[in-house]
Amino acid sequence: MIAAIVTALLAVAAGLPFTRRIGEAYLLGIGIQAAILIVLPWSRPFIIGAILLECGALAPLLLRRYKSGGKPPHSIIDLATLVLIAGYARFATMAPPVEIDFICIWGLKAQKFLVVHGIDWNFLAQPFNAFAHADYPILVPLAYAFQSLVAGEWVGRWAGALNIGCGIAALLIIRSELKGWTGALAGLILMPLVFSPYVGDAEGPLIAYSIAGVLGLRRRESIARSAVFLGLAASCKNEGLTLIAAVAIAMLIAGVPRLIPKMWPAIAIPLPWLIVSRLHGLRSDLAESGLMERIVAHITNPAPMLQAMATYPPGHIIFWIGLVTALLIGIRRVVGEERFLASVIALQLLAFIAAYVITPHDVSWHVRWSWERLVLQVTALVTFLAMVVTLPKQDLAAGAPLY
Amino acid sequence: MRLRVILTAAAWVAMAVGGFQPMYVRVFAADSDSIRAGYTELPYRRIPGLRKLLVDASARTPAGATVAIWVPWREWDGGYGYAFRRAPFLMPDKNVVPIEEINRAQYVVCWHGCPSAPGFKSVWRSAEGELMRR
Repeated sequence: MIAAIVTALLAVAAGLPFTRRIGEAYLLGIGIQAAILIVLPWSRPFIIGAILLECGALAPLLLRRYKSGGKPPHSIIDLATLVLIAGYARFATMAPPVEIDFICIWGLKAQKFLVVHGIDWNFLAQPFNAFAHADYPILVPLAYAFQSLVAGEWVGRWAGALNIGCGIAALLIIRSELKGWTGALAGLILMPLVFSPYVGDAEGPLIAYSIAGVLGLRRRESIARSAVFLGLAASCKNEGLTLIAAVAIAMLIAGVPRLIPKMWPAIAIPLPWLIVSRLHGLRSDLAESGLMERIVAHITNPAPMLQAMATYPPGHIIFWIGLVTALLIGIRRVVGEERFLASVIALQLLAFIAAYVITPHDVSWHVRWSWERLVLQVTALVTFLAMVVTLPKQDLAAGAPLY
Repeated sequence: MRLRVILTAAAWVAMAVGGFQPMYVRVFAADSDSIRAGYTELPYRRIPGLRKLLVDASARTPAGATVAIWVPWREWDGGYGYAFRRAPFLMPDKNVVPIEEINRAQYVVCWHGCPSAPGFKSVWRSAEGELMRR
């Protein structure tokens, strides 16, 4: 909690653009809420008091005028984006989340934690509850538990509010990277990609934290602050851990290995959960015995995995045609000044495929029920990349140099 | 240069069209009550009445009780897992255990009626199922 507040204060000093400041403040706030539940008693007066303190700490982020001194970026195109956001907000809160992962993992853990006013280790440790993926990080369940504690009842259909908030935060951060009407148009196109259709699952928060962390590092701005967002991404889903590794390798590829040690908050934030959960005997299903046999089997016979990927492709083909076309048009910048971002995305995709190579489950089943969700985690980032490499440089927000 | 601009515009249009989610516009004309009712049942649709049974049974058992779930399928992937995975969410303050752990259970919730279970007696019944207590 102290680290998050200090980081929030550092963000004030960094003089971020107004839209980015709002987006980052929200995402930091969610992380601070989770930290509050880990260190404070789960009682409503304590929690509300903590919120007031948190708002006091973050208020400068919202109140201080952004550094250019003008108005926040806006365009008539933003109205269309706002209509879509309103539609998403209605969609996400019309009914309790129907995603099975919400019912079996994220929402379920939040409910169990609410009952015992803490982490329900007894529930997590039961072998027959393995379907709840006891080893998964707990930031998202804690966020739902926090909402419920403040509301005084289970969040129900308002669980979707977390997805809405994270989507808005991510879009505001992206909006701060691009100027003028092209920035507004990019926001409109990216809107459905940052607002996860998997309402109640951890994808929405993970996408937002990934965007906040990776885009900050793309311009080499405040490495420590960006690393905090990567740490929070790793506190949403295990894919956030592979993202940290992808970022570190991408820094090597981009020729800035000296920045890697400054990424320490990305490790420090998820580390306590990794240690404590292992001490409680919680293990990932991917680490089940017979790892080498599975790797050999899947590498020597990749057909089932590839067939499943072809059978259940993520998104529409027209979208991918447009994306690949844009990347080819700007290929010099993809492998040049944007090689850090391009490397992060490519390495993260490789990590997704590696998970299928070591999976103990039927690989066709695993791909069918996760491939689209996994790809969505990086779709907004790769679309952003496709956009920036096709835009004139004067349409990009000024800032620290790229790689 | 002009070709590049045209290709770029075409690529952006393709990304916009391919990524667009019409649901976020259609939703304004949707009947929220009927959608809410439909969505509430959606995750439990393969075992009709399961959601109502578990909610009703949960209201009739004390917090902290250990409850076993019975459905007429024993294979995890053949129907039992479908019911068992969903039960804890609807009975969050109970300790839900699989039927193999019935010796630990104080209650058994059965979809569409219980088989005979030594040491248990029926305490509540509905169209969706039955609740037994040790």
